[in-house]
Formats: sequence, structure tokens, C-alpha cells
Amino acid sequence: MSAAALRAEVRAQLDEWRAAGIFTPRSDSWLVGYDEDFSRRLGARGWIGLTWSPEYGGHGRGFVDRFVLTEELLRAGAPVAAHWIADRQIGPAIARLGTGALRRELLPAIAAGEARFCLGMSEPDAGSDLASVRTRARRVDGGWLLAGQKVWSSNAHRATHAYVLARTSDGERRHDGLSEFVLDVTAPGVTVRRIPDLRGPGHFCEIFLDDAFVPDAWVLGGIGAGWAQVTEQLAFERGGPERVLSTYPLLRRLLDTAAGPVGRVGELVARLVALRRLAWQVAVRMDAGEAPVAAAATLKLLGNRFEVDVIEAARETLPSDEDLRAALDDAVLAAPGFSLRGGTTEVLSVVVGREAMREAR
Amino acid sequence: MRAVAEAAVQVLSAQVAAYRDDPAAEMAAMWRTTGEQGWHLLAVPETAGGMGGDLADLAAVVRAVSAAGLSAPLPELHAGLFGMLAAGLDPAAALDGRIGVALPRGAEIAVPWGRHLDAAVLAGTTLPCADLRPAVNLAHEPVDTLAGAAAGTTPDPVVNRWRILHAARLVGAAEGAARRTAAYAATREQFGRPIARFQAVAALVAEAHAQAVLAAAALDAALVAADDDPVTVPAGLATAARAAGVVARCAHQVHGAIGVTRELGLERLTRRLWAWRDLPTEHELEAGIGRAVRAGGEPLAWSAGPEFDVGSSG
Repeated sequence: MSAAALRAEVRAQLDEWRAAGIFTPRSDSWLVGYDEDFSRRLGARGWIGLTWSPEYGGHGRGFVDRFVLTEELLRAGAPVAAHWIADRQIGPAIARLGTGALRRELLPAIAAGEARFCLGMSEPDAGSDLASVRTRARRVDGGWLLAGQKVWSSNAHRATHAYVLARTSDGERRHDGLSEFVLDVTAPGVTVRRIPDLRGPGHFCEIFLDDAFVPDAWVLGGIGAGWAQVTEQLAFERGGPERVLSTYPLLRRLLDTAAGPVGRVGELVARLVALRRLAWQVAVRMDAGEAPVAAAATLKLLGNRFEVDVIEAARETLPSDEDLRAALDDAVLAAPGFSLRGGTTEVLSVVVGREAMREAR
Repeated sequence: MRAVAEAAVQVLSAQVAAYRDDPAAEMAAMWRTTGEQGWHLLAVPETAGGMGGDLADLAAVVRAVSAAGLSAPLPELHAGLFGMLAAGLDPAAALDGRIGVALPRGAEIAVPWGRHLDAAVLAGTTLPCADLRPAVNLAHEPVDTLAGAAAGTTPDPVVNRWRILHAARLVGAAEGAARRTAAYAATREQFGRPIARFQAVAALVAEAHAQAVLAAAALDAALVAADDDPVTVPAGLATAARAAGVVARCAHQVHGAIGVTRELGLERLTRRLWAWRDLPTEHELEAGIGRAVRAGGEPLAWSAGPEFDVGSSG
């Protein structure tokens, strides 16, 4: 099936589900649109783990196909948060680096929408500076014991598994000695606490690790190779259309109402075309086996700006209809996170500047 | 195509050196050389007297030429030839580089490089290039005008052709200026270190680079759009025009006072960015896109996206 056919199929299915009241579109649906049943529905249609091998419940398709699928999901504002992290980055990391046992156990479960991942990267003293993580992994018979504290782990309270970056040794450089683990969050020694945010209960959580056990088979890649591995993950984490389309459901309403100054709308649509092409280029490069980290950073830098500019345009033009007002408010409260999660604008700017100088040499 | 692009840059650069301090003579030489070399015949089928190749090949040449801070009427001569062929008119003069393109703008019609041409294509017919009101843009290039607005089909495939290549022109200059800016920030020292080490400066370098990347993606999308596309092609040029302004501003801010000197040569890029982004401005293009989307609704805006399926798995 071509990507165009896939796009048409996804679009038709989402239209149908939306009409049947199975979901209600909203902005930022890939983070706050949490619906386990919806994830299972997508899993049943074969729309989770699209790029993975059929051997592990995937469909062996390319990143361009996944790009098309995720674009349509985001356009529809569909509730995809429950499986998003696993589908986007941890599943691919397991497929790339995981042991046979880990792949067999988790990839089919993720693809079915049953296994749900949260990220255990940030810590109280390791935000943008990820290499300063202090969570430790101590060697024991048959595996590792994790001890420390993770924070800003979205939807951890409803996840089945966590990805954890931890220190396995103290190298000469602080980028050495980091390793990646997959953790069963129901294991003894794991405590998850929610962090209320400006919207209420919110999605943020902190994870306390008190000698939580991870078997050897659940280590991702090489012990001590965590930094290089997590850096590669960034292309997956930053380079997708969700860095452009978080507020697309709001823009869609704006375009449907045919309101607003034509110039402002035209500018947004023009930029949207360019940003979508940029995201497509990232997917093409991933299909070619690259990890286009700098291009992904550029996309996120520009895409986050677009997401916020959609809100500003909507503020200028939307009528004072109650329903539209609610959609706008929802986007306003989500917006502070856009340019923080997955790398702050300031950090990305350094990455992009460095790339510019590398290319200019 | 790399060889053609390199040759074009080399040949045109040699001409520029001969006409220093005489912009009008320089531009006449640029037009003459372009026509003689026949680079505008790229992306024209051999059966029609062209050199074969596709529009992306020609865009790559345009991009390289403008990245080097050079002017060449490649978009005009190509669109002129394309227009003559599309209208079933005798292409002989266009093959020789004597037919350009007419761009309606409010109460007048702009004919870039018009003074050197026999005629310009407008809505399937030709306008003789006599009695033009002479004008030059900020880059010293001729952009002559005729009185009178003309009704044509919208969107016009000939104008779209020109827009794509004009966007390529802007992308090339934006890339050239962004590259120079990054290289300068990495080597220029103040307070005992390269200025790129200051994050505020690095942010300007990043912004210039990111805008050039975005403009290139917009061009990439426009290159695979349909001839009569109403959104993706104007979007490509609008995005390139917006990027042009940002890149020029960042480039001059990072370079400091030396950046405005003729000796440094950055102005060969930034003057062009400022000139080219004005015909048409992003504001004109965006209003057109907004009107098209208002008529076509969200599905048009979404489907007007790039041809994602080109080259993907079948």
C-alpha cells in the first residue's frame, strides 16, 4: 500500500470514529489525549509499531509511512498519548538495541496498545543537562538495582513500563558510565507520584526508585553506552510532526470558520506547508538509516514557534463562541510545555548553531 | 547538475569582475551571458529545443548562482520559454533568451529584466517590451514596469514557474548569507574567544541557519507541486521571502559594522535578499493563499501540503 493510500485509509477511519463519538478532537492530544481503549483500537488496526518487524508485531513499513499516519492522527486531534512514547521512541530503541527476550516480550504488547511507556530521563538536578543524572544502577546477580528519582515523567501513573537512564559507573567524563534500562513500573521499589500542574491533576509524575530490579535481558544496548544511544533517540523524539501540529486542531477550526485576516491565515498555511515538508525530509532520512539529529532540532525549534503562533492567530480572530473559547484556552494552557519538552528552545538553538558552523567549515 | 552550477558561478563571477562600479553594465552582461550559455534551457525537453533535465536541476543552478551573490535572469528566461511553449507560440526568441515574464501587480505590470527583452509572457500571450518605465531594485537589477493591470488565470502556471525559481533564488542567497554568518561567528574573536561562544550570538547564527533550512524545505515542496497549484507554490515563495528578511537581519547583526562594507561582500547577498523579497512581497502572496484557503477550507490547506508520496514505498 502506498503512503497516499495509507493516508486515505487513516483519514477515513478517524472521520468515522470521530463521527461515532469515539473521540473528541483536542490540541496537544499526543500528550494529554490519554485513552487506553483508543490505543487498543489503533493497535488492532495495525497502526502502532508500523516500522517494526512483523516478527515483533510490527508491519515492516518505513518512517515516511509512520509520518503520514502520525500526521493524520494529530490533524484529527486523536487521543494517542497512551502509546505515543512507546511507539515513537522506546519501541524503536528496543527494536534497535533490545535483547531478543525484550523484543519478544514487549514489542507485540506495545503494538497491541497494551504496554504503555513513560520516560525516566529528567531528574530534579538533571533537566536540560541530562548527563548529570544521579540515579544509579547497582550490579546484582542476574540484573541491576535502580535507585534514585526521576521527574517530569508524563503519564507514569498509568504506564506499564518506564525507560530509565541511570549511571552504572563513574567515568572520567560525565557522559561515560550511563546506561539505558527498561523497567516494569509495577515492580517492588517503584513509587509513582503525580505532580499537579496549571491545568489540575495533569500528566506529570515523579518516579521514586528504591532498589527496583531490572533483569539483564531488559538492559538496552551496551552498559556504559547510554549517552550515545540516548542522543540517537533524539532524532526520533524531536523530529516528528508532533513538534509542529500540537495546536493543529485549533488551526483547523480557524480554517473551517473561514474567519480571520486572510494574510495572517495565509502566512500560517505557508509556514505549515514548509514545516510539514521539513518533517517529511526527516522521515526520509530515517528511512535511509540516518539519525538526523540536527535537522530534527531545527524542525522542533521552528515547529514550536508555529504551534504558539496558531494560538495568537486564533486569539485575534476566533468568535466568542463558548466551544471555540474552550479549545483556545486548552491550547493556551498547553503552550508553555511546547518549547520545553524534548529539548528547550535555548538548548536546541545551541545545537542548531553548532550544526550551522559545522556545515560552514 | 553540480558541474553546470559550478560553471555558471565561474562564468558569471568573471563577468562581474570586469564591470565593477558599473551596475547597469554588469546586469547587461549577466543577461547576455545567461542567454548565450543557455542555462535557462535546462528543464526544457530536448524535443522543444531545450537541454532536458527537470525543474529541480534548474533550481539547483539558480540556487548556486545566487548563493554566490550573483544576478542572472534565469527564472525570467525560463518562465518566458515555458510560457511560449505552453501557449503554442514560436519559441525561437525565447530560446535565445529574449522573452521574459510579466508579473501583474496592482495597477502596473512588472517585467524583470524587461529592458533587455523583446517581449514578456502574460496570460498566454506576449507583451512587447517597448515603452517600459525603467526601474532598478535594491540589487541594481532592472525591474521595469508597464502601466495597466491585466486579468489572467489564477493561478497562472507561467507565473508559478517563475515563482518557484525566484524562490530558489532567495533560498540560495539565504543559504549563502547564513553560511557566511556561521563561519564568521566561529572565527571572529572578541573578549578573547570566538563570538559564537556567546549564546546570544549563537542564537542569531541558529536562527539564520534554521530560516534557510525552512526556506529550502518550502522550495522543495513547491518543486513537486502541480503547475496550477494555488497554495504550495506561493507558500514556497512567501516562506523564502520571509526567511530572506530574517537571514539578512541576523547576518548583519553578527557581522557588526564590517558587514555593511562593500569590501567584505556580504552586501552582495543581503541587497539581493532585500530586493528579491519585494517582488512580490510575502504579504501579497500570503493574502492570496489566505483567500484560496478561505474558498477551499481546511482540506485545501492540508492537501496543499508537499507531495509526500513521491519516492516512498509502494
